[in-house]
Amino acid sequence: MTDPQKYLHPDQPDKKIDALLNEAARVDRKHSVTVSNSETTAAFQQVSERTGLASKPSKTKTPLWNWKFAAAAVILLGAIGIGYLSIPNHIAVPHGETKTITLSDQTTITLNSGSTLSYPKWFNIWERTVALNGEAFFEVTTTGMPFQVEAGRGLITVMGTKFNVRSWPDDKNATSVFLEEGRVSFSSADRESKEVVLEPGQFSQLTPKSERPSPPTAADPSKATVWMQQGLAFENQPLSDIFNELSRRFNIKIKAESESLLQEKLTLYLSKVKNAEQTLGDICRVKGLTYSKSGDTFVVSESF
Amino acid sequence: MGSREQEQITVWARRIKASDEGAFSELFHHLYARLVKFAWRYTKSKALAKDIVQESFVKLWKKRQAIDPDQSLLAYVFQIVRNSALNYLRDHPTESIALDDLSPGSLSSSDHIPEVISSDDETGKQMIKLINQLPNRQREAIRLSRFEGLDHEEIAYVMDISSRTVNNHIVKAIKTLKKEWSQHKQNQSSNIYYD
Repeated sequence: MTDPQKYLHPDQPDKKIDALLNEAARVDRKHSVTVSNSETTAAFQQVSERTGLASKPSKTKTPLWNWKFAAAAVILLGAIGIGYLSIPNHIAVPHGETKTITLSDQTTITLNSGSTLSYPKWFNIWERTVALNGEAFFEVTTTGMPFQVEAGRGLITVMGTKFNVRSWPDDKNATSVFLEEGRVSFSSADRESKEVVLEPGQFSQLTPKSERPSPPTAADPSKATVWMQQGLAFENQPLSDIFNELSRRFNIKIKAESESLLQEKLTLYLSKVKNAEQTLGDICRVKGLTYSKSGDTFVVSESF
Repeated sequence: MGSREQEQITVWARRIKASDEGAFSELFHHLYARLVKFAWRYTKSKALAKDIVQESFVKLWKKRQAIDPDQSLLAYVFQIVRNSALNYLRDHPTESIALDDLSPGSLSSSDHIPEVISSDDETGKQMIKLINQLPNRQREAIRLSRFEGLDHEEIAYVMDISSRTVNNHIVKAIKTLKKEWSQHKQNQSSNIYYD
Protein backbone atom coordinates (compact mmCIF):
# COMPACT_ATOMS: atom_id res chain seq x y z
CA MET A 1 0.00 0.00 0.00
CA THR A 2 1.26 3.45 -0.82
CA ASP A 3 1.12 5.99 1.92
CA PRO A 4 -1.58 8.51 1.03
CA GLN A 5 0.32 11.17 2.95
CA LYS A 6 2.90 11.09 0.22
CA TYR A 7 0.61 13.03 -2.08
CA LEU A 8 -0.01 15.67 0.49
CA HIS A 9 3.62 16.58 0.49
CA PRO A 10 4.36 19.16 -2.18
CA ASP A 11 8.05 18.31 -2.22
CA GLN A 12 7.42 14.77 -3.39
CA PRO A 13 5.14 15.08 -6.37
CA ASP A 14 4.51 11.83 -8.14
CA LYS A 15 6.01 12.64 -11.52
CA LYS A 16 4.64 9.63 -13.33
CA ILE A 17 1.00 10.11 -12.38
CA ASP A 18 1.39 13.85 -12.94
CA ALA A 19 2.57 13.24 -16.47
CA LEU A 20 -0.28 10.81 -17.08
CA LEU A 21 -2.83 13.31 -15.77
CA ASN A 22 -1.36 16.10 -17.90
CA GLU A 23 -1.64 13.84 -20.90
CA ALA A 24 -5.29 13.12 -20.01
CA ALA A 25 -5.97 16.86 -19.68
CA ARG A 26 -4.38 17.52 -23.07
CA VAL A 27 -6.44 14.84 -24.83
CA ASP A 28 -9.55 15.96 -22.94
CA ARG A 29 -9.09 19.54 -24.21
CA LYS A 30 -8.57 18.28 -27.72
CA HIS A 31 -11.91 16.49 -27.63
CA SER A 32 -13.89 19.30 -26.11
CA VAL A 33 -16.23 21.66 -27.96
CA THR A 34 -14.73 24.79 -29.44
CA VAL A 35 -15.98 28.29 -28.81
CA SER A 36 -15.04 30.92 -31.36
CA ASN A 37 -14.41 34.59 -30.69
CA SER A 38 -17.49 35.54 -32.65
CA GLU A 39 -19.59 33.22 -30.49
CA THR A 40 -18.16 34.86 -27.39
CA THR A 41 -18.96 38.30 -28.75
CA ALA A 42 -22.52 37.26 -29.63
CA ALA A 43 -22.96 35.69 -26.20
CA PHE A 44 -21.77 38.84 -24.47
CA GLN A 45 -24.18 40.85 -26.55
CA GLN A 46 -27.03 38.69 -25.28
CA VAL A 47 -25.87 38.91 -21.68
CA SER A 48 -25.61 42.70 -22.02
CA GLU A 49 -29.13 42.86 -23.32
CA ARG A 50 -30.39 40.65 -20.52
CA THR A 51 -28.67 42.66 -17.80
CA GLY A 52 -29.64 46.01 -19.32
CA LEU A 53 -26.00 46.98 -19.87
CA ALA A 54 -25.01 49.12 -22.81
CA SER A 55 -24.38 46.67 -25.58
CA LYS A 56 -20.98 48.09 -26.53
CA PRO A 57 -18.32 49.36 -24.15
CA SER A 58 -17.75 52.37 -26.43
CA LYS A 59 -18.98 55.61 -24.91
CA THR A 60 -19.50 57.37 -28.21
CA LYS A 61 -23.07 56.23 -28.69
CA THR A 62 -25.76 58.71 -27.84
CA PRO A 63 -26.91 58.05 -24.29
CA LEU A 64 -30.56 58.41 -25.35
CA TRP A 65 -30.27 55.48 -27.72
CA ASN A 66 -28.61 53.33 -25.10
CA TRP A 67 -31.21 54.27 -22.56
CA LYS A 68 -34.04 53.46 -24.91
CA PHE A 69 -32.43 50.21 -25.86
CA ALA A 70 -31.89 49.18 -22.27
CA ALA A 71 -35.43 50.15 -21.33
CA ALA A 72 -36.85 48.20 -24.26
CA ALA A 73 -34.81 45.17 -23.32
CA VAL A 74 -35.91 45.40 -19.70
CA ILE A 75 -39.58 45.73 -20.63
CA LEU A 76 -39.39 42.89 -23.11
CA LEU A 77 -37.64 40.60 -20.69
CA GLY A 78 -39.88 41.58 -17.84
CA ALA A 79 -42.87 40.69 -19.95
CA ILE A 80 -41.64 37.31 -21.02
CA GLY A 81 -40.06 36.35 -17.77
CA ILE A 82 -36.35 35.90 -17.35
CA GLY A 83 -36.63 32.65 -15.47
CA TYR A 84 -38.77 31.13 -18.16
CA LEU A 85 -36.40 32.17 -20.91
CA SER A 86 -33.40 30.72 -19.20
CA ILE A 87 -34.59 27.11 -19.46
CA PRO A 88 -33.96 25.72 -22.94
CA ASN A 89 -36.41 23.32 -24.53
CA HIS A 90 -35.07 19.84 -24.79
CA ILE A 91 -36.51 16.97 -26.80
CA ALA A 92 -35.23 13.42 -26.48
CA VAL A 93 -36.50 10.61 -28.69
CA PRO A 94 -36.45 7.15 -27.05
CA HIS A 95 -34.80 4.22 -28.79
CA GLY A 96 -37.18 2.44 -31.14
CA GLU A 97 -39.17 5.61 -31.94
CA THR A 98 -38.99 8.63 -34.22
CA LYS A 99 -40.60 11.97 -33.59
CA THR A 100 -41.66 14.95 -35.69
CA ILE A 101 -41.91 18.37 -34.07
CA THR A 102 -42.97 21.78 -35.34
CA LEU A 103 -41.20 24.85 -33.98
CA SER A 104 -42.75 28.28 -33.48
CA ASP A 105 -41.53 29.41 -36.93
CA GLN A 106 -43.35 26.43 -38.51
CA THR A 107 -40.09 24.62 -39.19
CA THR A 108 -40.61 20.88 -38.89
CA ILE A 109 -37.94 18.49 -37.69
CA THR A 110 -38.13 14.70 -37.84
CA LEU A 111 -35.81 13.13 -35.29
CA ASN A 112 -34.37 9.63 -35.59
CA SER A 113 -34.38 7.21 -32.63
CA GLY A 114 -32.11 8.16 -29.75
CA SER A 115 -31.61 11.74 -30.98
CA THR A 116 -31.86 14.82 -28.81
CA LEU A 117 -32.61 18.37 -29.89
CA SER A 118 -32.40 21.49 -27.76
CA TYR A 119 -33.15 25.10 -28.52
CA PRO A 120 -33.47 28.24 -26.44
CA LYS A 121 -36.86 29.53 -25.36
CA TRP A 122 -36.03 32.67 -27.32
CA PHE A 123 -35.89 30.62 -30.50
CA ASN A 124 -37.27 32.76 -33.33
CA ILE A 125 -37.04 35.93 -31.19
CA TRP A 126 -33.34 36.79 -31.47
CA GLU A 127 -32.03 33.82 -33.35
CA ARG A 128 -33.01 30.49 -34.77
CA THR A 129 -30.43 28.08 -33.42
CA VAL A 130 -30.95 24.46 -32.46
CA ALA A 131 -28.46 21.89 -31.20
CA LEU A 132 -28.71 18.34 -32.50
CA ASN A 133 -27.18 15.20 -31.13
CA GLY A 134 -28.08 12.37 -33.49
CA GLU A 135 -29.87 12.47 -36.81
CA ALA A 136 -32.74 14.59 -38.09
CA PHE A 137 -34.42 15.79 -41.24
CA PHE A 138 -35.19 19.51 -41.31
CA GLU A 139 -37.79 21.40 -43.29
CA VAL A 140 -36.94 24.99 -42.48
CA THR A 141 -39.39 27.83 -43.07
CA THR A 142 -37.98 30.97 -44.68
CA THR A 143 -38.46 33.92 -42.33
CA GLY A 144 -35.56 36.22 -43.18
CA MET A 145 -33.70 35.13 -40.07
CA PRO A 146 -30.94 32.55 -40.60
CA PHE A 147 -31.55 29.11 -39.14
CA GLN A 148 -28.54 27.35 -37.60
CA VAL A 149 -27.97 23.77 -36.54
CA GLU A 150 -25.12 22.96 -34.20
CA ALA A 151 -24.26 19.30 -34.58
CA GLY A 152 -21.11 17.94 -33.02
CA ARG A 153 -18.29 20.09 -34.34
CA GLY A 154 -20.39 21.14 -37.32
CA LEU A 155 -22.42 24.24 -37.92
CA ILE A 156 -25.06 24.37 -40.65
CA THR A 157 -26.53 27.71 -41.67
CA VAL A 158 -29.61 27.95 -43.88
CA MET A 159 -32.33 30.37 -44.80
CA GLY A 160 -35.17 28.01 -45.76
CA THR A 161 -34.67 24.51 -47.06
CA LYS A 162 -34.93 20.74 -46.57
CA PHE A 163 -31.89 18.81 -45.40
CA ASN A 164 -30.73 15.85 -43.33
CA VAL A 165 -28.10 16.07 -40.58
CA ARG A 166 -26.42 13.06 -39.07
CA SER A 167 -24.20 13.64 -36.04
CA TRP A 168 -23.76 10.76 -33.59
CA PRO A 169 -20.94 11.23 -31.12
CA ASP A 170 -20.02 7.56 -31.51
CA ASP A 171 -19.92 7.56 -35.32
CA LYS A 172 -16.58 7.67 -37.08
CA ASN A 173 -17.63 10.31 -39.55
CA ALA A 174 -18.92 12.71 -36.93
CA THR A 175 -21.24 15.11 -38.74
CA SER A 176 -22.74 14.85 -42.21
CA VAL A 177 -25.28 16.89 -44.12
CA PHE A 178 -27.43 15.93 -47.10
CA LEU A 179 -29.36 18.71 -48.85
CA GLU A 180 -32.68 17.89 -50.47
CA GLU A 181 -33.90 21.33 -51.45
CA GLY A 182 -32.63 24.93 -51.31
CA ARG A 183 -29.12 25.85 -50.19
CA VAL A 184 -27.11 25.39 -47.02
CA SER A 185 -23.69 26.44 -45.86
CA PHE A 186 -21.83 23.96 -43.73
CA SER A 187 -18.69 24.57 -41.69
CA SER A 188 -16.97 23.52 -38.53
CA ALA A 189 -18.39 25.57 -35.64
CA ASP A 190 -15.00 27.11 -34.92
CA ARG A 191 -14.02 27.78 -38.54
CA GLU A 192 -17.09 29.43 -39.95
CA SER A 193 -15.09 31.06 -42.72
CA LYS A 194 -14.07 27.65 -44.10
CA GLU A 195 -17.53 26.73 -45.24
CA VAL A 196 -18.78 24.62 -48.12
CA VAL A 197 -22.05 25.41 -49.86
CA LEU A 198 -24.27 22.49 -50.83
CA GLU A 199 -26.56 22.30 -53.83
CA PRO A 200 -29.66 20.10 -53.81
CA GLY A 201 -28.81 16.38 -53.93
CA GLN A 202 -25.33 16.92 -52.48
CA PHE A 203 -23.72 15.45 -49.40
CA SER A 204 -20.77 16.63 -47.29
CA GLN A 205 -19.23 15.46 -44.06
CA LEU A 206 -17.02 16.94 -41.37
CA THR A 207 -14.59 14.45 -39.91
CA PRO A 208 -13.23 15.04 -36.42
CA LYS A 209 -9.78 16.09 -37.58
CA SER A 210 -10.57 18.28 -40.56
CA GLU A 211 -10.84 22.06 -40.56
CA ARG A 212 -13.46 22.18 -43.25
CA PRO A 213 -16.15 19.76 -44.46
CA SER A 214 -15.51 17.52 -47.47
CA PRO A 215 -16.23 18.96 -50.94
CA PRO A 216 -19.92 18.36 -51.68
CA THR A 217 -20.60 15.28 -53.80
CA ALA A 218 -23.79 13.95 -55.33
CA ALA A 219 -25.61 11.45 -53.12
CA ASP A 220 -28.59 9.21 -53.69
CA PRO A 221 -31.54 11.03 -52.09
CA SER A 222 -33.45 7.82 -51.46
CA LYS A 223 -30.54 6.52 -49.38
CA ALA A 224 -29.69 9.71 -47.52
CA THR A 225 -33.09 9.92 -45.86
CA VAL A 226 -33.94 6.22 -45.93
CA TRP A 227 -34.19 6.16 -42.13
CA MET A 228 -37.44 8.08 -42.39
CA GLN A 229 -38.95 5.06 -44.15
CA GLN A 230 -37.48 2.61 -41.60
CA GLY A 231 -34.66 1.76 -43.98
CA LEU A 232 -30.91 1.49 -43.53
CA ALA A 233 -28.16 2.71 -45.86
CA PHE A 234 -24.47 2.42 -45.13
CA GLU A 235 -21.65 2.73 -47.55
CA ASN A 236 -18.44 1.09 -46.48
CA GLN A 237 -19.07 1.91 -42.82
CA PRO A 238 -17.62 0.08 -39.81
CA LEU A 239 -19.91 -2.43 -38.11
CA SER A 240 -19.70 -0.33 -34.93
CA ASP A 241 -21.69 2.47 -36.64
CA ILE A 242 -24.16 0.00 -38.12
CA PHE A 243 -24.72 -1.80 -34.81
CA ASN A 244 -25.16 1.54 -33.03
CA GLU A 245 -27.82 2.49 -35.55
CA LEU A 246 -29.64 -0.84 -35.18
CA SER A 247 -29.54 -0.55 -31.37
CA ARG A 248 -31.05 2.91 -31.38
CA ARG A 249 -33.61 2.31 -34.06
CA PHE A 250 -34.93 -1.00 -32.80
CA ASN A 251 -34.20 -0.53 -29.13
CA ILE A 252 -32.04 -3.64 -28.87
CA LYS A 253 -28.62 -4.21 -27.33
CA ILE A 254 -25.77 -5.50 -29.45
CA LYS A 255 -22.41 -6.42 -28.03
CA ALA A 256 -19.34 -7.53 -29.92
CA GLU A 257 -17.04 -10.17 -28.58
CA SER A 258 -13.99 -8.40 -29.91
CA GLU A 259 -13.16 -4.80 -30.75
CA SER A 260 -11.58 -5.81 -34.05
CA LEU A 261 -14.74 -7.20 -35.61
CA LEU A 262 -16.42 -3.85 -35.04
CA GLN A 263 -13.91 -2.25 -37.39
CA GLU A 264 -15.00 -4.53 -40.26
CA LYS A 265 -16.61 -2.44 -42.98
CA LEU A 266 -19.84 -3.12 -44.78
CA THR A 267 -22.00 -1.60 -47.50
CA LEU A 268 -25.64 -2.17 -46.77
CA TYR A 269 -28.89 -0.91 -48.21
CA LEU A 270 -32.32 -1.95 -47.03
CA SER A 271 -35.26 0.16 -48.11
CA LYS A 272 -37.25 -1.04 -45.12
CA VAL A 273 -36.14 -3.08 -42.15
CA LYS A 274 -38.90 -5.41 -41.04
CA ASN A 275 -37.11 -7.34 -38.36
CA ALA A 276 -33.99 -6.20 -36.52
CA GLU A 277 -32.85 -9.70 -35.59
CA GLN A 278 -33.17 -10.91 -39.17
CA THR A 279 -31.12 -7.93 -40.35
CA LEU A 280 -28.47 -8.67 -37.76
CA GLY A 281 -28.45 -12.28 -38.95
CA ASP A 282 -27.95 -11.15 -42.56
CA ILE A 283 -25.07 -8.90 -41.58
CA CYS A 284 -23.42 -11.74 -39.66
CA ARG A 285 -23.79 -14.15 -42.56
CA VAL A 286 -22.22 -11.71 -45.02
CA LYS A 287 -19.30 -10.94 -42.73
CA GLY A 288 -18.72 -14.53 -41.55
CA LEU A 289 -19.86 -13.80 -38.01
CA THR A 290 -22.35 -15.45 -35.69
CA TYR A 291 -24.58 -14.08 -32.99
CA SER A 292 -26.25 -15.49 -29.95
CA LYS A 293 -28.86 -14.02 -27.68
CA SER A 294 -28.16 -13.71 -24.00
CA GLY A 295 -30.99 -12.08 -22.07
CA ASP A 296 -31.94 -8.95 -23.97
CA THR A 297 -28.53 -8.61 -25.62
CA PHE A 298 -27.30 -9.94 -28.95
CA VAL A 299 -23.68 -11.00 -28.72
CA VAL A 300 -21.83 -11.01 -32.03
CA SER A 301 -18.68 -13.09 -32.42
CA GLU A 302 -16.38 -14.45 -35.08
CA SER A 303 -17.50 -17.82 -36.41
CA PHE A 304 -14.98 -20.61 -36.59
CA MET B 1 -4.04 28.56 -12.05
CA GLY B 2 -1.31 31.15 -12.51
CA SER B 3 -1.04 33.73 -9.78
CA ARG B 4 -1.06 36.52 -12.33
CA GLU B 5 -4.42 35.33 -13.52
CA GLN B 6 -5.52 35.13 -9.91
CA GLU B 7 -4.42 38.74 -9.36
CA GLN B 8 -6.18 39.87 -12.51
CA ILE B 9 -9.39 38.17 -11.47
CA THR B 10 -9.21 39.76 -8.01
CA VAL B 11 -8.92 43.18 -9.67
CA TRP B 12 -11.94 42.38 -11.84
CA ALA B 13 -13.86 41.20 -8.76
CA ARG B 14 -13.34 44.57 -7.05
CA ARG B 15 -14.26 46.54 -10.15
CA ILE B 16 -17.38 44.43 -10.88
CA LYS B 17 -18.51 44.83 -7.28
CA ALA B 18 -18.28 48.59 -7.95
CA SER B 19 -20.56 48.11 -11.02
CA ASP B 20 -17.74 48.52 -13.56
CA GLU B 21 -19.21 47.26 -16.83
CA GLY B 22 -15.83 47.19 -18.56
CA ALA B 23 -14.48 44.75 -15.97
CA PHE B 24 -17.57 42.57 -16.38
CA SER B 25 -16.96 42.48 -20.13
CA GLU B 26 -13.28 41.62 -19.65
CA LEU B 27 -14.08 38.82 -17.23
CA PHE B 28 -16.73 37.48 -19.58
CA HIS B 29 -14.37 37.41 -22.56
CA HIS B 30 -11.64 35.86 -20.45
CA LEU B 31 -13.77 33.01 -19.11
CA TYR B 32 -16.61 32.36 -21.54
CA ALA B 33 -15.02 29.69 -23.77
CA ARG B 34 -13.49 27.93 -20.78
CA LEU B 35 -16.80 27.82 -18.92
CA VAL B 36 -18.77 26.63 -21.95
CA LYS B 37 -16.34 23.73 -22.28
CA PHE B 38 -16.69 23.06 -18.56
CA ALA B 39 -20.51 23.11 -18.67
CA TRP B 40 -20.49 20.95 -21.82
CA ARG B 41 -18.84 18.16 -19.81
CA TYR B 42 -22.08 17.92 -17.86
CA THR B 43 -24.70 18.76 -20.50
CA LYS B 44 -23.10 17.29 -23.62
CA SER B 45 -24.99 19.94 -25.56
CA LYS B 46 -23.13 23.03 -26.64
CA ALA B 47 -26.29 25.13 -26.97
CA LEU B 48 -27.29 24.15 -23.46
CA ALA B 49 -23.79 24.81 -22.10
CA LYS B 50 -23.82 28.27 -23.70
CA ASP B 51 -27.22 29.04 -22.17
CA ILE B 52 -26.06 27.96 -18.74
CA VAL B 53 -22.92 30.08 -18.88
CA GLN B 54 -24.76 33.16 -20.15
CA GLU B 55 -27.36 32.74 -17.45
CA SER B 56 -24.59 32.44 -14.86
CA PHE B 57 -23.07 35.75 -15.95
CA VAL B 58 -26.47 37.43 -15.80
CA LYS B 59 -26.76 36.10 -12.24
CA LEU B 60 -23.24 37.26 -11.40
CA TRP B 61 -23.97 40.80 -12.58
CA LYS B 62 -27.25 40.94 -10.68
CA LYS B 63 -25.54 39.77 -7.50
CA ARG B 64 -22.39 41.82 -7.99
CA GLN B 65 -22.90 43.67 -4.68
CA ALA B 66 -22.47 40.34 -2.90
CA ILE B 67 -19.05 39.60 -4.44
CA ASP B 68 -16.36 39.10 -1.84
CA PRO B 69 -13.05 40.19 -3.43
CA ASP B 70 -11.14 38.16 -0.85
CA GLN B 71 -12.79 34.97 -2.11
CA SER B 72 -11.88 33.48 -5.47
CA LEU B 73 -14.28 34.92 -8.04
CA LEU B 74 -13.19 32.14 -10.36
CA ALA B 75 -14.45 29.53 -7.89
CA TYR B 76 -17.65 31.54 -7.47
CA VAL B 77 -18.34 31.54 -11.22
CA PHE B 78 -17.45 27.85 -11.61
CA GLN B 79 -19.81 27.08 -8.74
CA ILE B 80 -22.74 28.90 -10.37
CA VAL B 81 -22.13 27.13 -13.68
CA ARG B 82 -21.72 23.72 -12.07
CA ASN B 83 -24.86 24.03 -9.98
CA SER B 84 -26.92 25.25 -12.92
CA ALA B 85 -25.71 22.30 -14.99
CA LEU B 86 -26.44 19.81 -12.21
CA ASN B 87 -29.88 21.35 -11.61
CA TYR B 88 -30.63 21.03 -15.28
CA LEU B 89 -29.63 17.38 -15.31
CA ARG B 90 -31.65 16.75 -12.15
CA ASP B 91 -34.76 18.33 -13.67
CA HIS B 92 -34.35 16.47 -16.97
CA PRO B 93 -33.43 12.98 -15.80
CA THR B 94 -34.42 11.26 -19.04
CA GLU B 95 -31.69 12.98 -20.97
CA SER B 96 -29.16 12.93 -18.22
CA ILE B 97 -25.95 11.85 -19.78
CA ALA B 98 -24.27 13.57 -16.92
CA LEU B 99 -20.91 12.99 -15.40
CA ASP B 100 -21.33 9.25 -15.47
CA ASP B 101 -20.60 8.90 -19.12
CA LEU B 102 -18.31 11.78 -19.53
CA SER B 103 -16.35 10.40 -22.25
CA PRO B 104 -16.59 7.33 -24.34
CA GLY B 105 -18.79 9.07 -26.89
CA SER B 106 -16.80 12.24 -27.07
CA LEU B 107 -13.61 10.34 -27.53
CA SER B 108 -14.47 7.57 -29.89
CA SER B 109 -15.08 10.03 -32.70
CA SER B 110 -11.35 10.17 -33.25
CA ASP B 111 -10.95 6.43 -33.54
CA HIS B 112 -10.76 6.58 -37.30
CA ILE B 113 -7.41 8.38 -37.18
CA PRO B 114 -4.69 6.16 -38.58
CA GLU B 115 -3.00 3.98 -35.97
CA VAL B 116 0.33 5.73 -36.03
CA ILE B 117 -1.10 9.13 -35.27
CA SER B 118 -3.79 8.10 -32.84
CA SER B 119 -1.36 6.11 -30.72
CA ASP B 120 -0.07 9.50 -29.52
CA ASP B 121 -3.34 10.03 -27.71
CA GLU B 122 -3.75 6.49 -26.40
CA THR B 123 -2.24 7.24 -23.00
CA GLY B 124 -4.46 10.25 -22.46
CA LYS B 125 -7.55 8.39 -23.61
CA GLN B 126 -6.85 5.45 -21.37
CA MET B 127 -6.34 7.80 -18.41
CA ILE B 128 -9.63 9.59 -19.15
CA LYS B 129 -11.33 6.21 -19.23
CA LEU B 130 -9.89 5.40 -15.82
CA ILE B 131 -10.84 8.83 -14.45
CA ASN B 132 -14.39 8.30 -15.66
CA GLN B 133 -14.60 5.05 -13.73
CA LEU B 134 -13.87 6.82 -10.43
CA PRO B 135 -16.73 7.48 -7.97
CA ASN B 136 -18.60 10.70 -8.88
CA ARG B 137 -17.12 13.08 -6.32
CA GLN B 138 -13.57 11.84 -6.76
CA ARG B 139 -13.91 12.21 -10.49
CA GLU B 140 -15.30 15.70 -10.19
CA ALA B 141 -12.57 16.78 -7.78
CA ILE B 142 -9.77 15.44 -9.94
CA ARG B 143 -11.23 16.99 -13.08
CA LEU B 144 -11.56 20.39 -11.42
CA SER B 145 -8.01 20.10 -10.17
CA ARG B 146 -6.19 18.72 -13.20
CA PHE B 147 -8.39 19.68 -16.13
CA GLU B 148 -9.77 23.03 -14.97
CA GLY B 149 -6.72 24.10 -12.98
CA LEU B 150 -8.50 25.07 -9.77
CA ASP B 151 -6.71 24.84 -6.43
CA HIS B 152 -8.07 22.76 -3.54
CA GLU B 153 -9.70 25.69 -1.81
CA GLU B 154 -11.46 26.71 -5.00
CA ILE B 155 -12.63 23.14 -5.61
CA ALA B 156 -13.95 23.02 -2.04
CA TYR B 157 -15.99 26.12 -2.75
CA VAL B 158 -17.25 24.88 -6.12
CA MET B 159 -18.28 21.47 -4.76
CA ASP B 160 -19.47 22.88 -1.45
CA ILE B 161 -17.33 20.57 0.68
CA SER B 162 -14.32 21.20 2.95
CA SER B 163 -10.78 21.49 1.54
CA ARG B 164 -9.90 18.50 3.64
CA THR B 165 -12.54 16.42 1.90
CA VAL B 166 -11.31 17.68 -1.48
CA ASN B 167 -7.87 16.55 -0.50
CA ASN B 168 -9.16 13.12 0.52
CA HIS B 169 -11.02 12.72 -2.76
CA ILE B 170 -7.95 13.62 -4.78
CA VAL B 171 -5.61 11.41 -2.77
CA LYS B 172 -7.98 8.46 -3.15
CA ALA B 173 -8.49 9.16 -6.84
CA ILE B 174 -4.75 9.29 -7.51
CA LYS B 175 -4.20 6.10 -5.60
CA THR B 176 -6.86 4.28 -7.63
CA LEU B 177 -5.58 5.72 -10.89
CA LYS B 178 -2.05 4.54 -10.14
CA LYS B 179 -3.27 1.06 -9.36
CA GLU B 180 -5.56 0.86 -12.39
CA TRP B 181 -2.87 2.24 -14.66
CA SER B 182 -0.30 -0.38 -13.70
CA GLN B 183 -2.96 -3.05 -14.07
CA HIS B 184 -3.81 -1.72 -17.51
CA LYS B 185 -0.15 -1.79 -18.46
CA GLN B 186 0.14 -5.39 -17.32
CA ASN B 187 -2.93 -6.48 -19.27
CA GLN B 188 -1.61 -4.72 -22.31
CA SER B 189 1.73 -6.45 -22.27
CA SER B 190 0.13 -9.88 -21.84
CA ASN B 191 -2.15 -9.18 -24.81
CA ILE B 192 0.42 -7.92 -27.19
CA TYR B 193 0.55 -11.05 -29.33
CA TYR B 194 -3.16 -11.61 -29.28
CA ASP B 195 -4.63 -11.52 -32.75
